[in-house]
Amino acid sequence: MAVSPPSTMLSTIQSRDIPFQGSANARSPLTMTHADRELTEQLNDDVRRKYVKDKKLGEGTYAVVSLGYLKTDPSVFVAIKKIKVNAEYKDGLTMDAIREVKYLQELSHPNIIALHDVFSSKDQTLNLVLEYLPRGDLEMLIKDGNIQYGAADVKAWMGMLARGVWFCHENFVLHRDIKPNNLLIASDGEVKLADFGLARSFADPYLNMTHQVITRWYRPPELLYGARQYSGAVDVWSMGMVFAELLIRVPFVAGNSDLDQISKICEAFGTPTDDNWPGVSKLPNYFPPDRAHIIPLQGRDFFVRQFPTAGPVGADLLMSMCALDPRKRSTARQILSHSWWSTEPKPTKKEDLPKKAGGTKKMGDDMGRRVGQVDDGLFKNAARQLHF
Amino acid sequence: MKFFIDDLPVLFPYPRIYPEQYAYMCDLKKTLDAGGHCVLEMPSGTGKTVSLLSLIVAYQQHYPEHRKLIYCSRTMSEIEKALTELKALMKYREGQLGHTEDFRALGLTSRKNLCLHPSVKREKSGTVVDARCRSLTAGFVKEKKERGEDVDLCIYHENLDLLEPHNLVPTGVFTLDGLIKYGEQHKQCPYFSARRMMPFCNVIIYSYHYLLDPKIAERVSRELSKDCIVVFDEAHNIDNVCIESLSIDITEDSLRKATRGASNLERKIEELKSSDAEKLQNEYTKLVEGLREAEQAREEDQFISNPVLPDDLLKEAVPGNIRRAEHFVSFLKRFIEYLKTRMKVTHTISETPPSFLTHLKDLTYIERKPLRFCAERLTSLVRTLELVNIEDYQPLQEVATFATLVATYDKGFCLILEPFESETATVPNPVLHFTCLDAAIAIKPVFDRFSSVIITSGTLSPLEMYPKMLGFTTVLQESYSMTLARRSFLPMIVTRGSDQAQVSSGFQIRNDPGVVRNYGNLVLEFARITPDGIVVFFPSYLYMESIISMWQGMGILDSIWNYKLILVETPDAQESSLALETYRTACCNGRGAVLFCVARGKVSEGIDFDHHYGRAVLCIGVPFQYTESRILKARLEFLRENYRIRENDFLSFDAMRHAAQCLGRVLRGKDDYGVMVLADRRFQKKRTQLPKWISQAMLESETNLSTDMAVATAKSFLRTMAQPFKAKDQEGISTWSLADLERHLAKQRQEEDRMKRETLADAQANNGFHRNGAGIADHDEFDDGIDEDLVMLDAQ
Amino acid sequence: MCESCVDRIFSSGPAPCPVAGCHKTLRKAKFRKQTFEDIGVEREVDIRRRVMQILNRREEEFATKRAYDDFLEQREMIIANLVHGTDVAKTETDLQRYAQENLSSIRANQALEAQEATTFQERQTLEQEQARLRREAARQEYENERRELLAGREDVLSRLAAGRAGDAAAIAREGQRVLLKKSSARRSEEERIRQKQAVLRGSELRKGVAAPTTAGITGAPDSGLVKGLKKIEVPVPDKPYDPFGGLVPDKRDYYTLQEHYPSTYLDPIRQDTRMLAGGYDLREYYSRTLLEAFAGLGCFLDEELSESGSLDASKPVATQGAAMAAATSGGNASKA
Repeated sequence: MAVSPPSTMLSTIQSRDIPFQGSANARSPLTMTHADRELTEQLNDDVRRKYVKDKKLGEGTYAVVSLGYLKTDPSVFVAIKKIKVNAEYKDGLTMDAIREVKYLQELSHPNIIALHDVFSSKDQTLNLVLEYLPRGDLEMLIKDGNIQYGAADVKAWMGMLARGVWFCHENFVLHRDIKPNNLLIASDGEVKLADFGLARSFADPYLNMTHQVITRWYRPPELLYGARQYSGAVDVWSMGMVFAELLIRVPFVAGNSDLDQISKICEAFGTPTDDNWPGVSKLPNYFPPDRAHIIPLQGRDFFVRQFPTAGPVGADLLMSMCALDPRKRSTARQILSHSWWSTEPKPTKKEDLPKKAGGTKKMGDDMGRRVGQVDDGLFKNAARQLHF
Repeated sequence: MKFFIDDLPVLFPYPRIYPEQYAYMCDLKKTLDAGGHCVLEMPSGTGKTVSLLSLIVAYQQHYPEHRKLIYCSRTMSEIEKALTELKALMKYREGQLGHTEDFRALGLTSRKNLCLHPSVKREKSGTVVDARCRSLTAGFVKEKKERGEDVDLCIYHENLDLLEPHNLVPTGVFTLDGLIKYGEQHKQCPYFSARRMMPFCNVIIYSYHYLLDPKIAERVSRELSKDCIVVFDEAHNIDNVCIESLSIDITEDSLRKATRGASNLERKIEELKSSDAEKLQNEYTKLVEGLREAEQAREEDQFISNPVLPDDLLKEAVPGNIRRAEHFVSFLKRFIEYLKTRMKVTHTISETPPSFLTHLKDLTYIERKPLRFCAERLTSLVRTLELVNIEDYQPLQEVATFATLVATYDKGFCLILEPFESETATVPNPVLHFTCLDAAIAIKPVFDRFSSVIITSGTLSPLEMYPKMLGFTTVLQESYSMTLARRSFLPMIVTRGSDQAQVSSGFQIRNDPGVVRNYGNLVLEFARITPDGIVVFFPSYLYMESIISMWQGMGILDSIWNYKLILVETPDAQESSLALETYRTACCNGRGAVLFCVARGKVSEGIDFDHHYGRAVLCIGVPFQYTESRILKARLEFLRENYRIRENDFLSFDAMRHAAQCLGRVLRGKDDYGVMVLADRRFQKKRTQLPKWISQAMLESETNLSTDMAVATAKSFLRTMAQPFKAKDQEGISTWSLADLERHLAKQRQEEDRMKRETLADAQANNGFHRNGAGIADHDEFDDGIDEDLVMLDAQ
Repeated sequence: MCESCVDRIFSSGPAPCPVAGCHKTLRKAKFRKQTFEDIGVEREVDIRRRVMQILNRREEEFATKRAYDDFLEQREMIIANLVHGTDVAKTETDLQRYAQENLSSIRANQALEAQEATTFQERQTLEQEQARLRREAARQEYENERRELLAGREDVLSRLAAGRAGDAAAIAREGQRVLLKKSSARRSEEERIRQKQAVLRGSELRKGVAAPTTAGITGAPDSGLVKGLKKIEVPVPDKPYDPFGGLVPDKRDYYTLQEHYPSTYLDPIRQDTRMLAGGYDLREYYSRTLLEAFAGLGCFLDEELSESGSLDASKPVATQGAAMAAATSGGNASKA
């Protein structure tokens, strides 16, 4: 256990509204030994019996998500995510599930989906008891032409997203799959970062990480160039892409292959060179750009022009999130200190944010999907390999 | 024949199948599997209905869900045709399977068509039949009888109560005729038998209105479950049906009647107060509590039902100021009086619902909220008062429905006040048109509620227009071409007369004598060379009248007369049907005839001219709508603002779907043949908007012909067609036997395997990423043919 | 009565009512045009106007919807009484008393209503104007296209006239291609405009929503005649937006994080351009390492143990995590 919350965070952690049981027993399916099997089974049964499963909300390749509620108080709803037994893995557990449990247990924040409990069912599959988020995700809102929203709403959503990401980073967790359909919406309008199936903790120096993370349209240039050591800046880039998408309501840089993604990024923001990004040419998958097609880095004007809704201050913030060189990119902490939050318009109150019906089904689908996938099938054939 | 589509065994009641029928069924199945909506354009005369029924019945019977089929068609004769096909199909299935399936199918049409009551059925008007029927069948009438009061009941209806409620008619398929016969034999009411048996049917066949018209849908179609398969056949006009079902016209006369209705209500309330005050008090208490009368709502015959209302509103309690019956009646009277003041107009006014509501509030203090509840409140009151002669309250109901709609929808509706009822009228007779502009509103509940909705017709091009206008997404959109062993129809575009002068029904030149003469010669020449029947379509009655009288003056009619009898469609239905009958006789006895009719009239929509009844169809001019109409202007503006459909694109689409309908009239099967002439220079640009099966059959060289060239081409075509044609020649090409089908499947599988291998290889080469559907051909050439007719529209 | 009769009888000042048996004195100024055909409705609306101006409570002033509905019904009763002449005297006194007692609330609501009416009018005008502009734009666009098309066609023609016979096909093809390009360009342009408009509309809508509220102007609660009014609420002023959501950034209990820590172990990294170019950030490593080193300090094992001794103690997840981290002593390298 290398990750632990800083003591300053404890105050908020106390403020959970549902009296769920702690996680000591929740970890039992993972660390079971012969000696304490009986005890853990007993504990596991206790947890399982706390909840009643209701109807199925959605199903994906990876999990089945059902609505559930507390036996003692049927008005308290939860989402129960049952991980499908997968033939690929001997013990039936995918790494995704393990990561999800591992990191969600550690993180407790209003903008991060809460993991209430974990238990295994009789057929030895893992069940995660998650916070119930009935109002869909940001992708739904972005795509629905009938829903209109403005700068104040975008500011509110971005604020919640930035807080969630900041809290992850503050606790040394990289999310590595930030995108609109992983940002679920609670019944009170709060946006919550979900799907920690690709998350990991900050790496020690000299340790390689995989660059095959983050859904392509939200993947930063350093990962596209194959960097094996990187930082929270990767999540910040994804946030920048989400921000841009919220503003223009279509994915801002939507490449149809990794190569295409790089060239689209160059077109949009400028071509990375050793001048504007020292050392970029040393990255494993870097290839020198066509001399004739070097696009200079885009300045502030570009962002102001391209994203009029954000206003000049907002465009400035977005620009700081979209710096090609990860070292020049703002950190989550810096984002939250930006003056945009205090300029007009004020962020919309979460209860007044635009909403859309039919979110429950979407939550089920979102959570049942395997990480790194988007549901329009574009990525069906994308080979995903994870290196640990 | 029997074959498989994937794992689904399909029994098809003919030994041969057309390739397009097979493709159509495959796509239907795909749609049903995927659970979504689709738009399918299937050439006319290729057995669409039987393909549809065979596949869906197979689907129902094979899979455990047994999804119910709701098949909607436009006219009673089409409903009857579909029922007959279904009956034959079930008989065939029985023979093949060796046992009778547990299967029920019924058709439903209005009381007027199904009534057996000796005196009621003699009534002419549908509303009167409905009202009289209700007075003999309503629940409270029966209660009265049981209390010993002297009231009449309908014996046919009463007899139903003696039967098992879920088994009023035996299993099997009943045509409407069959149902009436069964009803006569067993002295039971066919209408109520069908209505009550609907929950137990596998297939229901009825008119569009039962699903689209909110006033009817609420009553008839409420209990249908979500997984029903809904089919709209002949759906090329579905947007107009949707719009009409939510549009209301109010005249001074109907307002007078509404006032009378309100006064009657007032009197009835007073009567009831003195005789049975408790009833009113009960209603009042219920309304205060906000309880919907669930048990009464289930009663099978409500007086009115509500227009499409958002759910949240329905859960709310009725506002306090119309809770009491007398308050509500005075509210209605005030509203009617207000409408009367609005009728005093001298020029046309168009208004949005919000501005109407503001003005209303200024004058009468009527607010939006209670107005929204009007229809519902009236229903409740009528029920409480146990009114029998409801036809008297029809106009009042219209006003209440109008009130509810105008207060519910800010957008998608428009009020137009016109001092004259029609263009030609001279005596003021003001009309308030409350027009729905958004076809999506009426059909939305259908798309929301049912998981698979199938929109199909012979002419739906361009396919993407329908999802756009009706606000839904499809899982599949397909247009099928027609496989033919010989070229059995000849579509041509005539752009010039024999003198090389252009022909067009365009506004500036339509009355030009040269153009009129060229059109006349075209008709004359075709009358000369075509055997038996010719049908000629004009864009409007007005234009038809003027051109015919000009031809009369030019002596063209006399010349035509030498070859053919001339008959003309008129707005009067009876005159037209007489003309049609004469036409058919003349076609049969060899005299031959030419029928002049209108592209938007009855003939163009519902009447087939198969074989010798129509060997040539001529479309004189592009059948654009009359663009000066306020209603049309408002709709065009709405489509532009909300669906990004440009005015000209819509008008052109609308004109072409009507033109295609006209052309489709002469070809009703693969053994049929006919010439199709589109006579207007503007058609040349628009031919891409024709259904695929027509445009594919059109040769490039035949898209810009002069009259003499067209006549020569048609002449040789007709000569070829007159040669005997054996059904055998079609085999393997335009009709398949089972063996042909299997050969095709084997080939398809090979092809698929090859594709799969290639994709796999590709995928490995390209890091497994493929983008589908990239680069849809973009060939929307700018359309300049329309502009001369349309000064840009200005709806204000 | 027709206009000329009114003129004839009342032009020389007040005169007795011409209806036989009615002895009221009438003035010309009080005559006005009849709006409604039905005189009963006309009279009712007159009375209604008067009552509505007094009993002008708004839905948001009531505690429940039920109370508001009761009020609406009561108002209908009062109007009906006045119209049908039942209990007129008592009803009138009630009404007058209410009017006197609630003068300020009546005025405020009247002002509010007037304001709403003007806002509505303004918005209507604005919308109409915008619709007109959009129409104009569509017309313009259409015209432009048409002109371009004609120009393109002429261009092709003149080039055909000038060129050699062999070029004809090529020129025509090119002309076609230009057209296609234009129409697809128009489409993407349209798409862009549409998105922009949607965004703009969104912000407008929001502005519109921030309409006046009645908070704070509610009169005396439950003033005699009208029941079920809401208690007055003092609106709480909005707190300033806190981007950090209540958490304090950079707060460390036992140490201050430095920008740089000398370490030979880490020195190679500081030189490794590849690692740096990938964005690897040593500060993240510092902060984690330091926190792990100090994490145990705030925990008192005795308390932790006694609290978490019983398993069903409702302890938050993260506290457990902290305890675990403390117990296993921070600093183990991550294996994930």
